[in-house]
Amino acid sequence: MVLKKRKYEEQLAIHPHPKPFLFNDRCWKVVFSWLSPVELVICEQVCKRWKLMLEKLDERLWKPLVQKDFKIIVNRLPDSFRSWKVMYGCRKNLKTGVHDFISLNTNGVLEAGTWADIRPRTLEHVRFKTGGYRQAVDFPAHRRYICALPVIKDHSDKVILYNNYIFYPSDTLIYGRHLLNGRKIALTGHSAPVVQMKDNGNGVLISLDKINSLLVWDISALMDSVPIAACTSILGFNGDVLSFDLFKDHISVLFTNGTIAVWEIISGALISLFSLIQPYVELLKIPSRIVLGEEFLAIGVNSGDTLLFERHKANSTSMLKYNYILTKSFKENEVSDHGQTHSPYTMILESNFIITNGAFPDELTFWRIKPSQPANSCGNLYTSASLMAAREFEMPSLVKHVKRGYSISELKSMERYSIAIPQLGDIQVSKMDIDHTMIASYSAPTDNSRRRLLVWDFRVDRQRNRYFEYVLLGNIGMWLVFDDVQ
Amino acid sequence: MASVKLTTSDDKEYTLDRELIFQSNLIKNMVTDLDVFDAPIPLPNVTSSTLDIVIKYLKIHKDDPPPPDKPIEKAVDDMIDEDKELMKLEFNIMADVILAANYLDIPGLLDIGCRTVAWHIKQCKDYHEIREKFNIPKELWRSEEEIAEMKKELNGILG
Repeated sequence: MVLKKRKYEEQLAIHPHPKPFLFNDRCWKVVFSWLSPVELVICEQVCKRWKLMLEKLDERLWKPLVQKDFKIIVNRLPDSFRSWKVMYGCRKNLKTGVHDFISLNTNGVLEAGTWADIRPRTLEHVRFKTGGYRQAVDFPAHRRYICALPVIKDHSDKVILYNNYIFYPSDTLIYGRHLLNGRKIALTGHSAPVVQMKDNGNGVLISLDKINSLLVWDISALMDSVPIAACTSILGFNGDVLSFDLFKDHISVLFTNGTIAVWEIISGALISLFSLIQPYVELLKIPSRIVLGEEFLAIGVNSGDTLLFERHKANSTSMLKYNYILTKSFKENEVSDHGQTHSPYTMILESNFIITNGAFPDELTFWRIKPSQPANSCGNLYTSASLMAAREFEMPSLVKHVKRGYSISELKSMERYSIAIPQLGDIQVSKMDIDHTMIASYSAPTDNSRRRLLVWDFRVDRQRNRYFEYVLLGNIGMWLVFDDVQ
Repeated sequence: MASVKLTTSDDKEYTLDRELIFQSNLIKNMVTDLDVFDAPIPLPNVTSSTLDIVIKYLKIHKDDPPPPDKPIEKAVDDMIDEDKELMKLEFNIMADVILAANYLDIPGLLDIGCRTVAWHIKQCKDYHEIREKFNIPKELWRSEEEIAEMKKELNGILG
């Protein structure tokens, strides 16, 4: 900080005030506070001194403008913005439709663009290189367009990527499309339209349809690109499914009445059954969601609270294998200030951290969850969990912390692409769990012409890079898939 | 009525009513804290011609109620005619007046001064006009390349 200040002063010494206006900065501060955004920007161009002053006064000048023009109460600069000025610009662009999506990477580089820019290109090429303009560069020759799939309106919530296949539902069928040769297979079995799909990354795909039947598919058998009949099994239960999640060979289901059940996928055996307590049952509405991890299970309810349950071995008299015990409920403090991001659109649970919606629509919050040390060598491995109150935005420390949970390549790619959600303001769905290495953000259209989705692929260090984009070509929605074929 | 003596940088002495000059927080604090009434207070940063204008302002606003704590939102040129008349100054004089207002801590004068400057900036369509109007020496200009870069940035940021 001291260093920064000295630098500012040094720079001021190099660029003195213009002669007739030997004001001190305080006077200029008052002068500038009377100006509009456009005028402020013009002033930056006048001379070096003014530019320096305006940069220094960023918070003082632009914060009130953000608050005034967009009617939002923000007390601190969201971490995803370099300055208040940039935040103002982004908000304005989204409001006026100049940009359709905005996001940032870990280096704080702003990436933004419009669908008009869509052509084969990598995501890097729409970033603001100097925090500034947009530059769409043609796709490098070694990357080629693979296939385009017509999709239905809200596919973004239901697309599964597994191996070389992309799975997407179409009414009662689930189609799998091979990304390289375009071969198409269909999974048949549902008798009602499919509303939700998830996979565990190991070849198990679970789909839910409108009449609450959950089907389990073995998609690993499709690896050799020969379509074979997928095995299906149906879990027996009653009740309306609100959300479900699977982790390895366990599936957890959250019912609208607040009941949570956990099954083993292969055997179909119920391993845990418990209920939410009041008042949380009241808050269970779409898009409340459940996520399942190794030691933990988390439920996001619509007040912005996240409930964290830790798994314990049940005692021997119980029929069930595990008990889940509520360890902690937590919530982003600033949520109540502005009331923007209440619903749990984003939740990702790993062995020692959980990512939830941040206080702002373009932020995510990382909570470090720490199972305590084993109480004794032969008892439960973890007796209780303590939640280290941590809003972790700095990737390096997060990376250090998640070493156990993620492979190195994924860490690197997370570092590189970060996790920032586009779509300020009118975000409707943003999710990170397409294939667990991708992040997609989707804003449902108010009119059909402006549908937005962006998918980020973290798997840059795997075999190949893949970029998925959803675009409207003519009036047909398409998935564009770009692949690196070095 | 008690009065206060001031000496400007060009050694002119002024004797002013306490009520009048106490609109300046600097003088007010000096006098009340130090309890000096007779000795003239030197104002090394203020010339007599500047102080004349400051005094004009003080006379106009002698009977103003104290300003509200919370600033009211006003248009930039929403000020009384006397103030507007007063602020019809050359830029270098205006700069001196604003600096004096800042130094003497007269919030009202600082406010109208800065607003006038802001108003002048608002009259300019682009940075060329501002440079011309404020007579900014060429060596301080930002280069055309820099500005071109910035303009691209603006297209991105402000649309």
